[in-house]
Amino acid sequence: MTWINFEAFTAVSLICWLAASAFVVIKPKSRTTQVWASVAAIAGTLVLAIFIGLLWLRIDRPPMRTLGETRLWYSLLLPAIGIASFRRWKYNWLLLYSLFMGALFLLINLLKPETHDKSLMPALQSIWFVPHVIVYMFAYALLAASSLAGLKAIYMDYRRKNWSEVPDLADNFVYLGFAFLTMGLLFGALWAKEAWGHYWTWDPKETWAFITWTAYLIYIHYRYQHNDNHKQAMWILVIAFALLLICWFGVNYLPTAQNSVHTYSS
Amino acid sequence: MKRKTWQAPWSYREGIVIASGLVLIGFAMQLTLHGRGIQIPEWPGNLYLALSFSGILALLHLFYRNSGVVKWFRSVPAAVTSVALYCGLAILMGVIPQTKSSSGFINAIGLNSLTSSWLFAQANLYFLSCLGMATLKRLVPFKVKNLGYILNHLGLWLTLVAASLGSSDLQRLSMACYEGKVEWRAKNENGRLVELPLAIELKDFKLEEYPPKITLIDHNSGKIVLQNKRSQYFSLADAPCMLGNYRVEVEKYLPESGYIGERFEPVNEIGAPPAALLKVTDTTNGQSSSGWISSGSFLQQPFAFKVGDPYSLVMLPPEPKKFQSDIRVLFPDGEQYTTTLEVNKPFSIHGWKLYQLSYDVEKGRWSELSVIELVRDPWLPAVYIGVFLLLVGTLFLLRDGAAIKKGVHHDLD
Repeated sequence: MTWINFEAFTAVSLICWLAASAFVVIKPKSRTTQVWASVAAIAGTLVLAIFIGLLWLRIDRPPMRTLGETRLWYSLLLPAIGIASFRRWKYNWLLLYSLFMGALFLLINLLKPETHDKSLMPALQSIWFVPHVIVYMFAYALLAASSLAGLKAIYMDYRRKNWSEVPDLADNFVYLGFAFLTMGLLFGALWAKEAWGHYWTWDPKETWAFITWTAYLIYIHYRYQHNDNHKQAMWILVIAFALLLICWFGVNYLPTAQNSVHTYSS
Repeated sequence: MKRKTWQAPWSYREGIVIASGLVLIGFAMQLTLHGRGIQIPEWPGNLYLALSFSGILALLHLFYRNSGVVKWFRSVPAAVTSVALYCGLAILMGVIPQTKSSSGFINAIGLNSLTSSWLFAQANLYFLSCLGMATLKRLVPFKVKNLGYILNHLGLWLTLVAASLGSSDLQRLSMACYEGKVEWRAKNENGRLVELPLAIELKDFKLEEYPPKITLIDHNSGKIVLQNKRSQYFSLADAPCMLGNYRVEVEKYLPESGYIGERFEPVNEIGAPPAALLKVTDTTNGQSSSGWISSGSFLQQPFAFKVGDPYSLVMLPPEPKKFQSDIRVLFPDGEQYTTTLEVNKPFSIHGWKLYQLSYDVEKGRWSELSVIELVRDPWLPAVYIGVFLLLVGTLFLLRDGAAIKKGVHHDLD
């Protein structure tokens, strides 16, 4: 058996992330625990990065073909963004949420194991494959962070706490995320022209990618003029992320999915 | 003080009324025309349309820039409502299959062919008018600080105008080529045969496969035993491996084989499938046995190895790794080109782009048929310029980020 032990890597990552979370939960105000939390979170994320690297070498192709493989990247990138933002803005909750989401996606992969095989269908053998997927996963992770901020704001509002600085944080994530989302969409279109003959065919996955993109476009334009209507804006953010999740996972369960060319799981 | 609807300056209320009005008119048009959608004129009609549309927007901007309606078109409420209308239509498209529906109502109002419906065209026109007016506001007069805004808005406008008006000039044809034959006819999207100004000779079709995979099935139900487990199958190249309680070793592998007597022997003929002699050990009791498996082909039956009731080992048909066509492209004036087409590696010639599309899947690597797609899209350069502007625009988004919102880089309208 030459399979790399996913369970062992996951366990180490999860323990590190749990330790990081424990640090900030137990002593939220202390500078020293924040440093220790960062160290533990970075260690857990690095272990996962090593796993993905080994998997890439082992299966001889980018591990980006199946939904489970994209979840791995998400579990890597979201905590990475969470840690970077935590170092920058010192929001404990942001670190906690992003580690939680990363852990959640790792657990889904544990419960829904996939066979990672070496085959890569000819349509995916392209220089566009890696940039298209990585840029998208990065966008998804940033936009998830923005939605976590949105949910946090809605929750704090419900508890009647002051949440005035949260929307600005959400905006930082949305602008970065939207730039990557646009790149992912356009890279996909340029690739589709080379692989399938046309840059846009309203394939169900394309349609939902477009829906997601327009939802964030609405958010950005709404915020541009109504910088004070925070509450509506935060709701737009949550809805936009729900549409993003349909695009990523939900498409397969829709009546339109049967004609999709974007199905790569065996 | 409360503002009345249609009292300047317009806002979201008017935007929603306009969007709903477009929806109603769109459905009404579709119904009166008995489900016939809108037809975009072909070249040069679509070019005139593009020029008149740009001209009208430019004139409105130059001479009526301070009128309430023009101001409204470039306002945020107009942007939000027109994008929302677009988004809503896309959601309908994402949920309702875009094929002939069993519901007469859906067919009648064009919900199953939204991209060619009146509603979609109107939403497009509304959105592009808003986007166009907003772009012009920042484009004329030009200021360097507006560059990011212009790249993003003009890029999107150009991409969408060129893509939608150019769609009527797009030709996508599929040509069935047989080895050793010259073909100059191809089928268009409606299945009609079209004669082309070029011919293609298929010299050779080649297909490479991945090593076959083996898996454990329940031979009573025919189902894969380890469904949803991490090692439900493995490639023969990765042997020895564990499948459930069975340890599987490969004693002999024949990429092309024939069933002779009670065993497989290497042969070299069309339709000769891969076969492998396996040694299987049941780890629960240590007993081992050997047997052949084969994936079969369009000429030969598959061959399974019973390892104990109700389990059998089977070989899955090998998956294609790469397929390609060696072709010669011929023109009436004697001009000719030799090239190799492969998935993701098209070939461009005189405005046509040639793609490796498919082959006779049942025959697999023995296919003598190669289906080649020919695409002609004269508006592609305009679309690509738009895409390029947008891509550069995203770099500005990355640089400026949320500062844009606070009006740091741009003055607010």
